[in-house]
Amino acid sequence: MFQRTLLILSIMAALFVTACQPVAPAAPEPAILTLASHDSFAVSEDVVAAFEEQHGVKLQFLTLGDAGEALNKLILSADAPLADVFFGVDNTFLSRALNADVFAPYASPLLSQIPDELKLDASNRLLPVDYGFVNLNADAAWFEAAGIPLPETLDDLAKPEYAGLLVAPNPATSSPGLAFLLTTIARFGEDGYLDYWQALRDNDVLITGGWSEAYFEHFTVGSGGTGDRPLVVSYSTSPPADVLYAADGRTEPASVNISPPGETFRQVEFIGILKNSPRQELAHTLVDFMLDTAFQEDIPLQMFVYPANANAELPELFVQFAQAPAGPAVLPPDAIEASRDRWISAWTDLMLR
Amino acid sequence: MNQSPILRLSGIRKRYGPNTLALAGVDLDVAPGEIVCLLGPSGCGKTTLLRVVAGLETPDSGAVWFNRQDLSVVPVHQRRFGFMFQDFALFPHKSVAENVAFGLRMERLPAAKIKTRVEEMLRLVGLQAYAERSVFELSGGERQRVALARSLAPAPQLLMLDEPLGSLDRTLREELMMELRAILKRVGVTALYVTHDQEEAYAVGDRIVIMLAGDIVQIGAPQAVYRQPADRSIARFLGFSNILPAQRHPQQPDLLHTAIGDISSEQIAGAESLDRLLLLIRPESARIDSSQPADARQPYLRDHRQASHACLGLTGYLSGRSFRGSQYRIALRVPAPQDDLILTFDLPAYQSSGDPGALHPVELPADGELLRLTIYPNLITVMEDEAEPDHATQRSAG
Amino acid sequence: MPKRIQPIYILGVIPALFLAFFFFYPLANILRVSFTGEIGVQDGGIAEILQRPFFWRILWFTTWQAAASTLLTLAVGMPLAYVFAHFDFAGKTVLRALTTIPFVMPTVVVAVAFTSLLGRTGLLNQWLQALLRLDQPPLSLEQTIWIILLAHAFYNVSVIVRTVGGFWANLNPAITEAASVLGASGLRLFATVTLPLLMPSIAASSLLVFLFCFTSFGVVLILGGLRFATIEVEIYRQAVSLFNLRAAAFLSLVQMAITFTVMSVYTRLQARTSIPLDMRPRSVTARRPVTTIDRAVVLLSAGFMLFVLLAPLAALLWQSVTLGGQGITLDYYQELTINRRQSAFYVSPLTAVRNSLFFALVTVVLSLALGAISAYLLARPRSRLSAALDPIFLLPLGTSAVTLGYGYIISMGTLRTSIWLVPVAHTLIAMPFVVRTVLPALRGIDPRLRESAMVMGASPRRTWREVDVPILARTLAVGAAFAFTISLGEFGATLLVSRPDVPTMPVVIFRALGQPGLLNYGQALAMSAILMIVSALGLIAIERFRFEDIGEF
Repeated sequence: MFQRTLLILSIMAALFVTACQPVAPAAPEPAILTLASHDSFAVSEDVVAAFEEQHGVKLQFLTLGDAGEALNKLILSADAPLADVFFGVDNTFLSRALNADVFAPYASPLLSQIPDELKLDASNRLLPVDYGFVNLNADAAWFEAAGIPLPETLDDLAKPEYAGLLVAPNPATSSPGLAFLLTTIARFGEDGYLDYWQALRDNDVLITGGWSEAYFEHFTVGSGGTGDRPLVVSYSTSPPADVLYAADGRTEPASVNISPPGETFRQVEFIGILKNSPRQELAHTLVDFMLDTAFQEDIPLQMFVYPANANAELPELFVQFAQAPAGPAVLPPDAIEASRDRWISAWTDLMLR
Repeated sequence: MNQSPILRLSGIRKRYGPNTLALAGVDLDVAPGEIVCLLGPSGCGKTTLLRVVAGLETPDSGAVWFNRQDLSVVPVHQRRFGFMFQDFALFPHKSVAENVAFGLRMERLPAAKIKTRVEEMLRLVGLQAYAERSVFELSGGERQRVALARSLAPAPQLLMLDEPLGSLDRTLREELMMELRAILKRVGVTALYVTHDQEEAYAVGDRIVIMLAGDIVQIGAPQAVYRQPADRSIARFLGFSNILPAQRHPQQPDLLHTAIGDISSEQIAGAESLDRLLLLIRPESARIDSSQPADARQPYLRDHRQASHACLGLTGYLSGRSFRGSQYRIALRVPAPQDDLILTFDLPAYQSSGDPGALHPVELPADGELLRLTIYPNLITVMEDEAEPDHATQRSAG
Repeated sequence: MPKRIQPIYILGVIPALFLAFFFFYPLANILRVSFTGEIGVQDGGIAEILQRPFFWRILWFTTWQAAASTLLTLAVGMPLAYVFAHFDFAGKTVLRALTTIPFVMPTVVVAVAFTSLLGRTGLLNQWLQALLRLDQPPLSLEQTIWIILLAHAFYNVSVIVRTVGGFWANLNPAITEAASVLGASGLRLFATVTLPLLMPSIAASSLLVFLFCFTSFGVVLILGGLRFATIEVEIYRQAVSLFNLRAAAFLSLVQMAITFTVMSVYTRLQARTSIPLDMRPRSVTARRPVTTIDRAVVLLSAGFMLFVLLAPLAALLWQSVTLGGQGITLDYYQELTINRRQSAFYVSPLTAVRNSLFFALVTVVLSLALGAISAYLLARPRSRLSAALDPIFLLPLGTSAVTLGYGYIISMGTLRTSIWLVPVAHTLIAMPFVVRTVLPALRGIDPRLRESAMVMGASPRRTWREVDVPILARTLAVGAAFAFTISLGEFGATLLVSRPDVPTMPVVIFRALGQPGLLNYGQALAMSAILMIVSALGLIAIERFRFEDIGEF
């Protein structure tokens, strides 16, 4: 018995020692720079390789859950940061990130190539990397076959002919869902948005937990024909994805954007350097790299959003099928942070109870 | 005992919790090749004693010596003993042969040797054909044999058997008792055999050790124990219920006075030196006396001379009977000044009635009728009438 | 013999340390930070939470839906358990493996499967509409409590089938036979004889199912559509969306307190009902089906439930080769092998399978070792220590993944980014399963079997090897199956910091579902199908695994 004890103890000890070894090898070269992000982060191999070669560092990536969860984890670990650089704070979480005071300011020289309207943090602790628009996608063929014109405004969605056609993700659990709710608040005002949602509810809008269920289960295009909703709350970049990831070799997307002025929401994603990171210098080079054109031009087809750098060229698919909507709805980040809970609770009380 | 003991227990005490004394300081010697039966009611500590010897329990004090070696430092698996459990504890995941081979494998014997030994053992218990069976395909008796073969296979220096027949039905038990003893004797193993059944103990044991409430109260050969229980509680445990207190008559020292009549003390062997005594009237000591009609006006118990032999006469009312083939068990109600006595007797179903060449069926009167019996005094055992020993007052676990 | 500390207490230190370091320490840490720290939203205290009727409603809903789900799971699982325990038929191992697959499927994928079957335009509604000539689809289950209950039953039925079935299979048939001779029959026989004997395993597996449903997150969120919220969902909302750590910590404590209470009651009942059992090898209890009406009914009902259980999986499989309506195609499987985006995080499906299997294997080894030791510790009869420890070993199951995940972030130092933390976290969830499956069998081992082995010369270690291991082998295999599926299904994945360069099968599925496009959707379905097949193969392998020289028991 005692031998067995000893054996198991030593195995456990060995396991423990192995587990406790830092993932980074003890050898100092090459230096390791850690980029933390949310689950949707993606990048090309050669872009990573180019950076590693150019600066003689090894990039390590961590994903920390969805955007909100990832930010929370970083805030919690601020004293002993999980990473050197964090990418993926969006404008709905900007205030929370800035208030937690976990990022160090860095006025990258590349900021000059980024339009001012994207720079929402004057202290330059969070620098814009990309942006996207949440709007409606419609199944053009479905509307043609049904003989119904495409809706043109949010108001149209409340009309009887569009009853039972829209599926939207829940703002409490989905970031495009929240974006759409914010759109309606910007459009109809704090006094009016609940009336609008009441009208949508009367018109049999379907609410799903996440974007994936809305798009793949219920949207007629996304589900490959088994869904029953020809209108979905999604992104203005969904149509190019529909072509790039088509199973039947189509060259035109089956879905079209409906993005009336003032009725879309722009999500801007930011990057920041953790202020307690010991590798500030190296972190600067990574931020510069991610704002520069090589990385920026990799963004659209990796993450299906628009590059923040104005000099970055858009791929052909984007030019053709994903023109950025003009005049998105405007809601300042601190207003969002201050009222998000209240808005979502009111919405939940109205829609789901 | 003319041989030096192979197993010696001295002062074994074992207590479970504050209130339960399982063993109250037991001493016992066992000779090589001897079969000692530990006999006692459930809870008397006999199983605990067995487990202490096997090393499955640690005594609070006292020592177990085997071959002059103190076993207190020898763990169970190095004692080389055999143990047979009441429900056999056959390994459910092993075949008959694998069960029997277990102890041999533990000794790391070569496979060929194990095989021959297993065959030999299965032959010994008459189960040659069952080697590859699952233990679930066996009857109770067959399992018992497998368990025996398994515990004997490694040729243990000492075999312990804990109620090995306890889970079998009566007929099978009687059949296996004799066989078990024959096998144990053939192998010549020293054995400690625990049972609560006296017949089993008489049939199997060379010596009987009676345990009550954690203590050994009597040791002796089966016949000796049966004939002379040491005291009233042992007699009760052995199933003797006809126990009649008696006193020497103050005026007539040769008379013994009982609640149901006076008898002459010289008829009763062993009564000479005692003033207060208990008469244990064995159930087999009576025959029907049809020489004269029963008469309720005589004392119920009295001296009675039959032919030229001194006997006792007992009269009482028949209050119950059960026919058991070769005999009747009857209950006889004998009126007494305080409580009536109920005495039980086993009467042969056939009796010679003067005609020496034939036995005739016994005719019993109807229930409630008077019945006259002759009691043969040599089958009456005398015990000292002391205060009842308090064996039963302590709670104990076995 | 000198008194010495029993070896099991020395060994018992290992799982205790494991729990202390990987569970209690991070948990205590995050609770401390939540209640005393300055991080996150500070307003909205506990008193306010308690005053909201919403809180009490959630508490009530969480409890009753868990109880209802458990009952439904039992209703579905018992006939299946009976059939698997009592009959030998071709394909039994495969079928049993299939009942366990739902356990590993990501909720999003299950939602897809359910919708394609039970949705408004799903297959069932189409059939019913055609059959009954209706204008409207007759079933409208989406975002109802029914779909939550169904999904819970779908997910957890294997817990009942495996735990109760395994126990049932080894029950001595003579007991029920004797009872039927005495005149008990049918339901009466089951209620008066079989049920009480099965009770320890029914109670143990029901408890696990209850705890799973009680802390249910994905099913409630995705299938229920947030019309329904469990405590776990509310914890997630407070901790992630609102970043109100104090409220989240308070709710976590409430959740743990309730589960702890349930578990304490259970352990008390269980200790009272545990008796050494007269067990039989499966070869004796399982037989070819015999034709009687009773059995036909059971077989039919089990067949129906099996069909219901497997239909969503079949639908998924079917969709993965027909999505897009272009006929049968393997395009989506092929797409898995193409790194279309030149992504730095792309791995071949084989690598994803290998990553998953690696984590699963480590989880199986860790949770079997730790779980078995814990079971031995808990199996000691009449020990106060055992009674006190028992619910503690179950506590990880009743703990909010989000809260514990935050705990890891602030407590694990450099270990928090180590890939070894993944199997460790899986082990926290899997270990209670191993304990619960092994414990009834362990308590059922007649102590005299061990004693007779020891008397015959087997050292304690050898006794364990010769008696315990073969008799426990079956339940250990069941425990291993749970550990394997728990790990493959990435339970508590939100707990951790993950490394995108080491994706597992579920991660590949999630990634594919993250972007529009039919090829992405198809890839997710294809990967789900592969996940199904890999887990089925793994489960069959575990069932086939035998210790070298012991017979099947």
